[in-house]
Amino acid sequence: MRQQARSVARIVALRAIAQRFSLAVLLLASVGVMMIGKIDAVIVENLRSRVTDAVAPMLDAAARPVAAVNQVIADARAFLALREENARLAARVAELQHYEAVAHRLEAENLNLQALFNFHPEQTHAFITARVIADNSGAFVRSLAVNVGTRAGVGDGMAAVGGRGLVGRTVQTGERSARILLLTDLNARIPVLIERTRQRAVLAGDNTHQPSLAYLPPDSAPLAGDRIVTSGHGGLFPPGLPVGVVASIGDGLVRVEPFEDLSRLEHVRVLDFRAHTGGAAMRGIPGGGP
Amino acid sequence: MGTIGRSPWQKLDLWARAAAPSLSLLVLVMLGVMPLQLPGYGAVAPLLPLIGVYYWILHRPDLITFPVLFVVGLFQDLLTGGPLGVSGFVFLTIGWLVLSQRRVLAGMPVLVVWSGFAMIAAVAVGLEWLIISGLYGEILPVRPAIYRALVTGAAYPIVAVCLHPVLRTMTPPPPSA
Repeated sequence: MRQQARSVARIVALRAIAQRFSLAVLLLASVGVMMIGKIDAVIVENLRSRVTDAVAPMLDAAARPVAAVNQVIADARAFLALREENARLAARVAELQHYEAVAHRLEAENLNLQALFNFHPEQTHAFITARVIADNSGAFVRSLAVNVGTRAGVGDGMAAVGGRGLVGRTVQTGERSARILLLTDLNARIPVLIERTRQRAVLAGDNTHQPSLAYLPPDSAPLAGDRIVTSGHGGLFPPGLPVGVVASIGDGLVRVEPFEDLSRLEHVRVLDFRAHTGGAAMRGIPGGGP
Repeated sequence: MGTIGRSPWQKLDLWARAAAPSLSLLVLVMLGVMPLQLPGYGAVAPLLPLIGVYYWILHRPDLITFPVLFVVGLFQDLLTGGPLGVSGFVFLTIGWLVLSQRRVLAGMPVLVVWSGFAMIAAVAVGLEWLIISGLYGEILPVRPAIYRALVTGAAYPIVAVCLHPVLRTMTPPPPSA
């Protein structure tokens, strides 16, 4: 009897030691995994896109009812504000009619000048519309998962835009899903232009909702309200995509408010820009042709 | 106690009950990345799986093992796009912390358990902030981390209410636990 009690006590003690040992091993393994991610990002990114791919159908299915409920709420709200909306839009139309005339004149002038200089306009880009199936924006990462991947012709490094402006770029593409690094993420760096002054800068995310402009030329004088567009440098993004407006200038930091509300995206368009640029940088993208 | 004499269905049932806590953690990870389209939600999104970790270790420590916490952490990092290994480290540390404080917290009124979790959430998010800052080599903004800790703490009762029915369907723990 006593022997049995002793062996039970021994088993309990052994189990406690084994548990503590497994904790230590797993904590070390976590640190090891962090180091692997730091040294060889490719393995980790590969694994990431596989896991996202595997759960994409589930996330997609779950995202649909949420989107539907949001749509109903938005519809109800829009219905209530119909009269005001109408008055506002009528005023806006009157204002825009003036710009329409200006635009027609400028377009004609532009075509004339292009013909004069034998200018080759850039080819238009194809796009793939995707549904947002996961919003991974935590306190430390800003990214989305969408339900299109290599099967639909999406590749790494493509620009993702919403209805109003740039959202980010694709960073890992699986077969059925892709991750979009938002322009607010700490690791996002996008070559941009200040539209008014044509000065180049890099839009650097820092996990806040307003990324800042880095590498501004010293003589630049951005003003609040200046439009920021992609510059097209580096060849990743087409030039001239609207990004945002300068929101505040202070402490040597120029903050940009993105045009797109990044926290309520339901659909994004992935621009297949490089497939049409040709040359050495052209990559074979299935289904990406015109 | 053996499983001799049980039908395959009974075995499957037992297995499902034993695996329910681990599976619920995976579900919480996926719920955590649901696009809710609420303005500003992303920045303060609660660390939902942490609530599950706390809840299950408090109520059924025999059904959550350290390897499970490690795997759930990896899944969380892979899905959210965070640096791999960080959540695993955080969940393991928190798991160990809760296990060591379990005797103090078990059987306490709900409010005490909840405030216990609020402290745990602060520790977890602080640890996460510290590790990621170290990995990126720069000090990350503190405010989102504070909000994340607060929202995670506040989300405890909602998740706990959802996990409670799962706990009730379970067979009682073996007497030694």
